[in-house]
Amino acid sequence: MQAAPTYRIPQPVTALDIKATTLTAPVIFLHIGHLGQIASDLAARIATSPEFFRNVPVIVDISRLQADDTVDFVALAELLRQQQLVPLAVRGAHGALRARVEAAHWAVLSDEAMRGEPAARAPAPRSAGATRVITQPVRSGQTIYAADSDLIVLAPVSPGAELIADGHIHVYGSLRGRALAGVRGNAASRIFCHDFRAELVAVAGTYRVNENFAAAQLGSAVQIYLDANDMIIEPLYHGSKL
Amino acid sequence: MARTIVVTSGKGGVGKTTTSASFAMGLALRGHRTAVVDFDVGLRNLDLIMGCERRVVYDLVNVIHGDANLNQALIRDKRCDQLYILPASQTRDKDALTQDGVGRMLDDLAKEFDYIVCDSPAGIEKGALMAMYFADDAIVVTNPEVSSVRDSDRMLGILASKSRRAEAGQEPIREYLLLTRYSAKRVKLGEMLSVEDVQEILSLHLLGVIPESPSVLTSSNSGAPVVLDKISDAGQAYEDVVARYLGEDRPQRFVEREKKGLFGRLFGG
Repeated sequence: MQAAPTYRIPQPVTALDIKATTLTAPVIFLHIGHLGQIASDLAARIATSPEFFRNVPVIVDISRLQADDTVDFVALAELLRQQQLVPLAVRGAHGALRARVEAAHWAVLSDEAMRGEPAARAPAPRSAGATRVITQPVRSGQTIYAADSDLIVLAPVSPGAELIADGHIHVYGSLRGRALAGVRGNAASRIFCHDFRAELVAVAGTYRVNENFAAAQLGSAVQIYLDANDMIIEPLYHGSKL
Repeated sequence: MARTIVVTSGKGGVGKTTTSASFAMGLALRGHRTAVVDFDVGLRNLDLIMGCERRVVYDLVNVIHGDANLNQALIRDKRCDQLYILPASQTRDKDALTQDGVGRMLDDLAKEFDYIVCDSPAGIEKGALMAMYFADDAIVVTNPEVSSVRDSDRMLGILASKSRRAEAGQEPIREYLLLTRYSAKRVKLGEMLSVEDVQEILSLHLLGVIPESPSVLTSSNSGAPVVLDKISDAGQAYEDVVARYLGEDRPQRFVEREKKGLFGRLFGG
């Protein structure tokens, strides 16, 4: 297939472009302004996972310091660089303190920045539904569909009945109808059956009809799954004869 | 409050009307005030089997549409004064039935009768659905034959989902299996499904087994429910069925091939 021709829109020539981005950085909350203690405590924390902290930009939050506790922000920056951290910004500095922070060449983050950044917007995982359990016989003409979940049937399934699931299907009894597992494409779905006499079985769209089951499989306990695109029907219990 | 029993099957020609007639007669003979209603609008048979076809004035559709009241339509049986028949219409069809109308009619019947037996038509469409919608009990008539078993299974699914009890979340319809036209000889030869074979698919409470019998044809030709023929095997089997339904414990008499005595083998068929 030929690649579609690409067209380049002429751009003005500039050396740079500025865009907004969001950044996740560790925040070091200071409790005490004593630089010596800060240095030793920091070294101990970094030692637990040095690679994680190497060359990482950090934000220092001073909101938990006592009111009379002062910090030499120039010395603090040097301390951090010695531990291979990159001093980025100070959070929680108000009034006169802001001027001192800026003079020491730190960025000052406003209080609005105290709000945690929203976690990366990942699509909400589709919660797996509770497995559906059927205890009454499934009669001819009935259809049971377990959406987003597995299906367990503890009663006989008559010819002409349909069991459908997005996940696995277990029949702890006679299966004489149809069983279709993984109907939305979950090829890892399986069908487990205690007394296998189905009219048709399917996993993620790959199906086989009763006529094409091996005679020895009928009436026995089997599990059915896909290996690549091949349907495998094998004994459910190890050591049982098929 | 009356108990409403539907006699249904799905498959046609298995013995629903024969059963409705004998079952209702059996209940009435035991002193219970019983009405048997023919729901097969347009293909009315119950009046023939009951022998009252020459006395039909008004029918079920007349009652539902308000052309007549129940007392005008109900026909009292000449053999048992506890038994009344409500025939179906022959000129109309099942579209003439409405759920509200059927419900009101059954409510009116319930005021005067202990048991209401509804003879369902074959199939799973409106007529059969109307007959079973208001039922408390269901007798699922099945022949020991694969297509009848499949259709009965389908009907069981419908009873479990489309009845008033199912829709209202009440206690479900009590289902009974009645195996009809059973031949113990053919089962023994392996030609016919046995009771166990049928139960493997249907898994129902077995109400009874009615043997294949020439007395059924004789009875319907003479307009009498076969239960009145006390000598016939089918008649006796229906009597057992009524007894079991009412709670008596009766052994299944016609499942095993009866051993014939010497005279039977010499002179019997």
